[in-house]
Amino acid sequence: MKKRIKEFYINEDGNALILVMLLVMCMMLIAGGVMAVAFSHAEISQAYKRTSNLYYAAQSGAEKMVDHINKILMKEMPHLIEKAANEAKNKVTTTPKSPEEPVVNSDFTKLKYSILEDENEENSSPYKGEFLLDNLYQELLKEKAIETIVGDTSPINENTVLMRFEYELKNERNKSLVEVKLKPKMALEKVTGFTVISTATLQKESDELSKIILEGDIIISDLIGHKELFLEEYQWKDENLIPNTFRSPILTFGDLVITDGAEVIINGDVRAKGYIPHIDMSEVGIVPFPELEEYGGIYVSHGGKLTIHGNIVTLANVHTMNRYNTQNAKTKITVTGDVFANSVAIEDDYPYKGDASADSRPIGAKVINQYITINGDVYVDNDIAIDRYVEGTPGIGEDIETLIKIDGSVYGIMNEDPAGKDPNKSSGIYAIGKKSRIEIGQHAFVHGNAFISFDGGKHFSHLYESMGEPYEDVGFLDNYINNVVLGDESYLTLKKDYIVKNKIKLHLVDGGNFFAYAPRMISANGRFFKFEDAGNVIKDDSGKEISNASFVAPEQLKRLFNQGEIDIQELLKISPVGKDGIVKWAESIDQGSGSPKIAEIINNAYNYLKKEGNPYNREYFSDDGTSYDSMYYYRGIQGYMFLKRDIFYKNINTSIYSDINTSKETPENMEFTGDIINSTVALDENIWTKDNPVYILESSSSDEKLINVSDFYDGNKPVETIIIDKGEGTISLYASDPNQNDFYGLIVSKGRVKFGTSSSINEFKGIIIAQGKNNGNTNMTTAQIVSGEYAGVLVEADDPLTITYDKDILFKVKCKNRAVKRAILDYLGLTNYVNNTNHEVNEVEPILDSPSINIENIQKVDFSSHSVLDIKNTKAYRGIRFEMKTLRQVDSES
Amino acid sequence: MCKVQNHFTVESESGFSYIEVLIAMAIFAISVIPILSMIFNASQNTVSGRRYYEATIMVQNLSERIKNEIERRLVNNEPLGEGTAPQSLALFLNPSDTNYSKFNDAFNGDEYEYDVYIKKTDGSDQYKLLKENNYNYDYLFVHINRGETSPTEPSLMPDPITELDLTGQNSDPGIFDTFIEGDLPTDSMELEFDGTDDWDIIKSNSPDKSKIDLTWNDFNDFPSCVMVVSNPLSPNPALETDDRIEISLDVSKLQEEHRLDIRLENNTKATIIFYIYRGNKVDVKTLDKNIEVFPIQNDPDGNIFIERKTKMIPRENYIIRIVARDRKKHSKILKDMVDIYSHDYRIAAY
Repeated sequence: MKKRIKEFYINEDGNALILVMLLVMCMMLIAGGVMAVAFSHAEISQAYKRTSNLYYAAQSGAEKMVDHINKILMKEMPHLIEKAANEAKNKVTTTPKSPEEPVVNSDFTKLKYSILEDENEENSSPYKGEFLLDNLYQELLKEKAIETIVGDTSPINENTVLMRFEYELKNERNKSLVEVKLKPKMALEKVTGFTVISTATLQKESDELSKIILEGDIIISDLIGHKELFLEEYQWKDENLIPNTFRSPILTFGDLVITDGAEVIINGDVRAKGYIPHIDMSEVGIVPFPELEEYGGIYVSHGGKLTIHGNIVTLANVHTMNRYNTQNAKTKITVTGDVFANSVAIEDDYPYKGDASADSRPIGAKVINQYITINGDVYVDNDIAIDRYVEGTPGIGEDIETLIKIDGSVYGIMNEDPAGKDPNKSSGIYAIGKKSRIEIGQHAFVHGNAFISFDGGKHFSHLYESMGEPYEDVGFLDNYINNVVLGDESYLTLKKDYIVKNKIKLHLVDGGNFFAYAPRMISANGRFFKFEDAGNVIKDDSGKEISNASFVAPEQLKRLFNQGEIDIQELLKISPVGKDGIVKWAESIDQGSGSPKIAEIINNAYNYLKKEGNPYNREYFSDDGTSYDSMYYYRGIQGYMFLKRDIFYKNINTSIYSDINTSKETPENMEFTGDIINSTVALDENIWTKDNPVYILESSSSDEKLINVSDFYDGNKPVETIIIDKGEGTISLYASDPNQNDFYGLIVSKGRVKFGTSSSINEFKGIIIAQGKNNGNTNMTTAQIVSGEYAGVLVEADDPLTITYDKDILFKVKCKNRAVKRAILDYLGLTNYVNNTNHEVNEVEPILDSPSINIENIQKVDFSSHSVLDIKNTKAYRGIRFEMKTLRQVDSES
Repeated sequence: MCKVQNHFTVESESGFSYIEVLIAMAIFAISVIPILSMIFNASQNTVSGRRYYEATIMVQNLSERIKNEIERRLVNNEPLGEGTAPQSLALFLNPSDTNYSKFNDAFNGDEYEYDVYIKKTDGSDQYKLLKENNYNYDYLFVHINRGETSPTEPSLMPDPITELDLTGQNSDPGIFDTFIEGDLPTDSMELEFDGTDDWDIIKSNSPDKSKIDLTWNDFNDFPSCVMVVSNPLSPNPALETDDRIEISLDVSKLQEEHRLDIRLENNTKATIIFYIYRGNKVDVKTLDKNIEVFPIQNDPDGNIFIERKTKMIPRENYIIRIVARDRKKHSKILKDMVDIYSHDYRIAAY
């Protein structure tokens, strides 16, 4: 065995074959390996070749989905923009609402005011800024865009398929099926984006060879490189809270004078503080108390005609005056509403007599053709009067003419000057003029009686009548002249047959609805009678008893008027409740059953004083729960008159409540500069352009700046314009073009606004706010007053002029340069840009909530729906769109 | 073993080694030939795989380049090509590449040839991207023989039945609907600033629904336009709050020295959307600085909205078929890929 093994090793036969075979086998193994590798490469390449197509097919599907929803977005974009823009704007403006709906405050937190840095100035103007929405529009637009894709799918979760599509890519050998789905991405149950799942499957006949699933996140992009500019326009915050300044077409601290044949129709209220002559109380008896014609107010003279479709509010008088030689031209005032005035009077031209520039009227001659017609009520501190040298011109069959006709009621609230000296603080109704009559259609309550003056007003006599014809037939009685305080009524008895007793016409009938009271004698309705002081009986001179047409006692009248010497503490609050707790205004006027109550008679005042009755929704009655403290001194009709005239008052000092017995019940007067306009706002002079229709000038007191309203036209259409005269001169409006003779706009003047003789202006639509020309704080002559020399508004135009109130005229003036408009709003005390200079603060509330003049601490203006959104670029701007944020391969659909 | 031993050693051993070697060689030869063949084939496959692989990569890159070029041309309102005649792919991608060197470098023109078929979707359900009876593509771009051969139709056409079938049973309708530029809403107006002193009405579609008055004024030392939108004349009803009027102004030709002053008044309750479009090249600051819009909304219920941006136009989809061929092997098809162009919303600026 050992040998055989040895031989085996020694013998080499067959070794080569074995080696070759081994070698071959090795080579085959190597070759096989090489081939395996090579084939696997080929396989990989082929597989890659196939799957790359598949991947691209899936990717294309995902991209197509993004493209598809973007196309939907594009298609809907105008609609989405419309909705988002409207919604964004409505968030920061007050949208139009019906009067019944409460006003909803704008959400100013969405808005910032950014003051623009001026490269040329160290400090930028607070008016040069931008209101910017804090991406509110963008967020709303994105929200709407997502809503558009989601549609009305409900319920919805992350597995909800919102959209899907399929397509095939195929050739002879196989096909790729692509299926694409869109699903929502949710956060806090809100869709915030989308997921796209794109599945591409390679199929050969029915065999699935390969499959790729791609999943992508779709986001909605921001608007990039933009700012949301809010081009603001304004409106009244609350139409019930329109500032007093803008409540009438004419507001003047001077007079409104219509003269020399001018014909004016005013649609709206007129509020003219009016010139009130100065009285030096220390020299009573030497320096005359002013007569009625020496007051300003509403003066229509020398053939002027004024029709007011509204109310008149003045601290002075409403009166006419006709010169003797112009008396053929009718001078007339017609008021459809109420009148709140010191007096209402038709004057003679006595003040002109002896004046070199005036007419010479023969002694005994009188002026005619003057009329005052008032359809509403008349509330006066003083008198309703027709002056001495006035004569009616009755027609055939008549012996007397009505010159002052009041369809409503008359309330003359004063009985005497608290200081006991001023004859103009006692109310009466008298018609001295020959054949003249004052007719009152409803109630007639006066609290005093008239005084007449002698010696140019140096001496006044207290008349015997509260109503009637006091002077003409009794003027020469010596005792009458000497009885300065109270006269002897016995003359009336003596002269009763000679006194014309029908110059006052009252509509009092037994059992009727209208009532009267006067503390002294009355000659009216052809009779002569008196209310008894302590009783409820009215007796005429024949002893006829008139019931149901009087107050019980003067006490009631005092409560009604709220003026007098009864328990002064009772006057401290504006309340219908007396100190004794009795609701005075609820008392019947004659204590008879079924008779009306005081509050019913003066229901206008009563209602106004209640919260729901006045436009401010203020509770003037202290017992209504909220006292309006500044009204402590004013109640009843006096309070009503005060409130109606409160544009001329301010700062009633309530701190003197405890010292009421010694304090004067006189409020501080409102000043034009500082109270109506903010003089600290520096308005630059500005030339009118169509895009910035603001004309700011400064006239000197001797100036009369002519302003041609025909220049303020755009074609045939007047452009709403603001004219501001910072000076105390006169701006005189005229129209050079008879076809362009309307003016729509707002005029604010520290001086006088004049419609001159040949102004040719047809219509003024808007508001005039005028201080009136400064007269140097000296007394003016009646001729100066009547001619409007220092008036606030003077009309002496030959052509008829219509002045129509437009409460929104300030906002209808559209300025491209908003800095100009903002400064004007500050100037008018409506906004407070001027103090909003802190760049870090620059919020909206301080601008609108704190007006620059703090007279009425209410938010006055708000941004209106006339405002516009302007999306501006700051750099390359991109709109919103859906974008694929990531695209990844996943093993299976999630 | 014993028999073999006997045969070679006992009986005769002369010449044995020679024969043995011959036999071994024969066996080796017989064995090695298929092995070599296998190795050769493997090598061939490796090369082929590499080429397939490279061709695939090239086609993918080419696809991206083509889509970018389509994007660029669409945004700039440039045509993709001139009809269905074969055009140079290299020049399509880069008109300045007149010697095709850049294309050949990027896409290995020494090795590969390409033909690209592009078809714009037109709302059809099926697309075949080859010539059958008619041309079923809109554009054909080719790159043959390193570009040295003039563009011509490929002599060896790819499979004619490659198609895109959009008739998926589960598809929401309208996925590939055509968006036709130029369709205007009922009340709309398109304006174009012509680069001089005026701008023109390109399209207007407000026959009776609304009344849009344009007036050119010449104040403030430069031309300005007043656009006033009013209610239609009777008996047409007045516009209401749910009505919308679109006005667009194309200011792509705006230069720095130009200034446009526009006063836009809306006297209706409708919403006016005023777009100011710019070309991509217009400097944004110039755009804002030189265009002043003074909007005046006169009716409290109406609205004006102004947006300045690049025009956003719906882009069509394009089906792209790219075929890569082996230049050295008789234009053998190495890769045949279909892609769909969809607008890339991430990069577009509008």
